[in-house]
Amino acid sequence: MKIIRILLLAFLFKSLVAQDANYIEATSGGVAIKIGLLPIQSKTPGAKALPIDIVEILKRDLGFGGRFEIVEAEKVDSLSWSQMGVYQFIWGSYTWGNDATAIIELRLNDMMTMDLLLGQSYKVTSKNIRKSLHDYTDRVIHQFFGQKGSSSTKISFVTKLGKSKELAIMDYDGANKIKITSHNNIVNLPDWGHDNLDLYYTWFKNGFPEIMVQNLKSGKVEAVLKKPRHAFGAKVSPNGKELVFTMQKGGGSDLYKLNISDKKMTRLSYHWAIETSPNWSPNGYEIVYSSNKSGRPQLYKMDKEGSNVERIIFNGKYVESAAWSPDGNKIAYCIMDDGLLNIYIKDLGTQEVKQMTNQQGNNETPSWSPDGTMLTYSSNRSGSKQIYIMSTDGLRTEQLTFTGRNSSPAWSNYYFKTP
Amino acid sequence: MKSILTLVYACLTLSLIGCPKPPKKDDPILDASPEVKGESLPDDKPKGLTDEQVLRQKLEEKRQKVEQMINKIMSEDIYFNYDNASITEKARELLAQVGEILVKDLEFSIVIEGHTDNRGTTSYNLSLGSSRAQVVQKYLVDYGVAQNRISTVSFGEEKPKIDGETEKAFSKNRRANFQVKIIEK
Repeated sequence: MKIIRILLLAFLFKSLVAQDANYIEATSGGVAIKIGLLPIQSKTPGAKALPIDIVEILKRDLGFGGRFEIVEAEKVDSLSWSQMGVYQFIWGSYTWGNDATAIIELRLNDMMTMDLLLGQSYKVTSKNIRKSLHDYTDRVIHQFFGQKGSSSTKISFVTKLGKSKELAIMDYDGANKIKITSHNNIVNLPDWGHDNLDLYYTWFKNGFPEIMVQNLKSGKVEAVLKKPRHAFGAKVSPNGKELVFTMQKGGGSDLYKLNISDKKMTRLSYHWAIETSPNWSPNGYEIVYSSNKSGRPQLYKMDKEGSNVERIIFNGKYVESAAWSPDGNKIAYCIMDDGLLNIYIKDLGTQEVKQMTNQQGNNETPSWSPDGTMLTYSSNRSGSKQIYIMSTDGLRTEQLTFTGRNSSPAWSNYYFKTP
Repeated sequence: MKSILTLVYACLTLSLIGCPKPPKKDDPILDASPEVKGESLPDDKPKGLTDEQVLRQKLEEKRQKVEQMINKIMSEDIYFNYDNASITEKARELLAQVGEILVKDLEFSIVIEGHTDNRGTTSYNLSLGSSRAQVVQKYLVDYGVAQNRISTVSFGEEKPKIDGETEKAFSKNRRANFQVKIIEK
């Protein structure tokens, strides 16, 4: 009975949040695990405070994807916590080392038995405190779910600087923005290499769109195709061995794939119409893309050899930018409604379609977090195009960039290594 | 209309080649050092250019004129309908004029740039820009311009002519641009 009441309360709570927020509630999802969070205090009284608010970052990291609901408290309160359904809690402390590093200790304990479930100590410079919290969150997620979390991931995006567009990357919470190209040209449509060591993108440096790859460590830039071709929008296959992209040749725009190591290219579509915006299924066997063969762009899928073409979305006149969810069950995409692009998610099993944004400017280029709990996208709802993330349950949204114009976000693969 | 244009074009070609003026008789000889205050400008007459270089320079000047002319003809707004690669009736008329220039003058090749407005996605717009450039190319080939003189490139929404989110900006940005190049022999 109590469980039912908690579920009911959770549902009511979610409904209220959804009404408050400026987007449509997309899914009731699973009920989040409630977890207690105590203040993270200095071990030595009167010590200098940490430069960032650890509790706030942990709350966001744990809560944003929808896995956890954080219950903040000053101390362990067994009675009210057990009534609320809080059975574990995170607590910790910090000290300052002599070399301007902070030692942060974080612990996850069981409230009933007080057993330590996950303890971790980080010796970090101020700059890396945030990173250590992302790591701890991913460890907590792994502890509870046996899955990797996306807290340590990054997002690459296009930033407009004067007349040129360059690529930048940032942490998934918008921190540590770094510009990684300086081509003084148009650079667009990034995607991450399999191991997050390379970025693939399209540039116009030679007067036409070309697919390039840049090593993030060395900065070395190379053309991907053997010969210069008008090609763009490369997406890296889940195993990192192939690319699928659009090439303009002869009569139209068609889909091609490339074996990265031997540079062998295979044509996948032969239609006179536009075939573009390809993207891989997570198992690498299928490709979702858009085609205007029926007039305006619609979504189709094909197998990776180019056969078994099938239309997959039937609502909307202009449907584009498909991205397959990491678990393979859903597809996120854009539909133009009354001149504005909105993001939708279709469940391929139940065929249910959910609208994730509601006519607040143009919302485009959805890209999934590797654990599938979040989407990044660009929106001009604030007046200029900026990067946002939302939880895929539709309950939380956050703006990550605020100045200039930023677009084409692409979520990285996992950085977190299973302990 | 077409004949007027041909005439204009013929005049332009002539003026570029340059007919020497007949020397006037009894031109007064000017004083070698006139009493004018001011700084003398450097001599801008090209020195030491070979005949080939002079010809090349003339050809380059002509190329620029033709490029300007073609782009001027094409600077009228609305060539393509929204989210569509089909050209408007107005665009057809203008393209016929461009075709006329290209059929007559075999020294140049052209690159057609396809551009879109910023509505819709980056990727689809790159493809749409390409389709538009190819539609223009096909029209010019049908008009009689050799296919190997026309290439296409798409910039999608990346190079708007004017910024803004108005219907006027959108229609100005949906366009084809022309680069005129000298065919190397």
